[in-house]
Amino acid sequence: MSILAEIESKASARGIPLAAHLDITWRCNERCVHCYLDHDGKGEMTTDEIKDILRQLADASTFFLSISGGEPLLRRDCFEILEYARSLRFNVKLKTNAVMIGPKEAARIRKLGIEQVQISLYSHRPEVHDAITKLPGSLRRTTEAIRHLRANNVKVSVTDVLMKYNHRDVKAVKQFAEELGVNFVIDPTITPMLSGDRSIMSLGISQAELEELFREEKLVGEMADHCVPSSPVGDDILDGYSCSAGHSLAYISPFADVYPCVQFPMPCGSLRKQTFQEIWYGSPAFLELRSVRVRDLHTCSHCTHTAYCSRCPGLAYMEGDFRGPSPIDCEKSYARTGVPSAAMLQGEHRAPQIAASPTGLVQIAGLL
Amino acid sequence: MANAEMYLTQSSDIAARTLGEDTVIMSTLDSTVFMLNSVGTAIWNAADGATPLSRIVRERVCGEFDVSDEQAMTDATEFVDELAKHGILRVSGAPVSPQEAH
Repeated sequence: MSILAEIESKASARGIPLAAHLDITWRCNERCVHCYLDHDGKGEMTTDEIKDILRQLADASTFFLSISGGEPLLRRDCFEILEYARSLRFNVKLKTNAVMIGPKEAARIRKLGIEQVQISLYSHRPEVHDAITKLPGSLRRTTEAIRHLRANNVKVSVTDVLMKYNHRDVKAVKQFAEELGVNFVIDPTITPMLSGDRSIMSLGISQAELEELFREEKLVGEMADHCVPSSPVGDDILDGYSCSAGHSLAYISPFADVYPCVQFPMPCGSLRKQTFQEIWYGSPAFLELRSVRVRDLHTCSHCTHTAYCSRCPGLAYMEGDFRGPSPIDCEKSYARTGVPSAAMLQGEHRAPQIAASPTGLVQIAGLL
Repeated sequence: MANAEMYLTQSSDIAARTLGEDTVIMSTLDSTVFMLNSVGTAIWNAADGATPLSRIVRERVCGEFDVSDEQAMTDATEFVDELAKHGILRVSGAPVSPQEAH
């Protein structure tokens, strides 16, 4: 067992919220066409409120902290928050579009010991990247920021969210990332808006394009490993859970609301009314979520893909039942192996049309 | 190499958290991760720059755990050397003030 797996196991056994994702604002200087957030800043937490929550998370033994948005650097107190988080010895990752990071900010991020900066990069071509962000010059500014960060030896991971507008550039973006000396992650997930609006789902790549993507060894690794159908599962899988959301991960919105994950909008409580530990250990929503094991999932528990499926309970929740299947994960398993999922065979999900989901969210993909 | 009369301070270039009796530490310099057991955690928590390793071992290890003085010191110096190699613990021949530690 790796050390990180051991840490996760010990935290899980003790009910510790090992990881937290904190959005300090939903305001943003870009307007990405696929964004699932609104950008209203009304009612955002104050600096003192955020610091208090960070203290509460440290007291609850949270170790991994992802600070995100919106664009977190739009808050004038962003560096004060980062500095405070580091003083509490969190392992901090910062998710940003980086357009506000110049040489001074990059040096400051290095000095603070931020573990990694995570940035979305949609294309190596400005006419594509900037059209997605709707911010002219954003590719140039983001690329310059990446160079400043790398010059300061800051680890950077770029995520390429694949849509019908940009997926043909994916190999070139991977090469661009390698030239920049940064980690590269592909994400074919388009997440419904938290308001429930699903219109942006139409931006996702088609099933045929997803299948094509999953057969590119340069992108997904050894195809024989990636595309092999799952083997039968044992009790260890059936007694486990399919995602860390609500088990060892919590999401906190800029308005102090707590959820299992940013992609799982099941309200669990407000930090303006209760402490974090009261919510984490006492919220009926969290307790119900934690009571469910893989064997309790009415369709997925007897699916061929159970062992390797990246089933997202948050996306299932947005479909109406977090114990149910997550259709876009069914599509991913189908695209990967050519074997229909149990939900597809039962007719719960018939026609793959949109992109499949990798494990977790863009924002937390590299968290654990 | 660490010895009994060395003084230990925790680096600020780390992320760390206690999980029950254990402590997880990650270097922000090279991302090395360590999981300290209860004995390692006891030494880590006592690394205040003012207490020599010999006293830490005597009071926090031998006083709390079933281990001989000699074995405890051998294990402790190996442990300190490993953490020092990754910049997680700093080792010095004289006491270090809290200001100097950071």
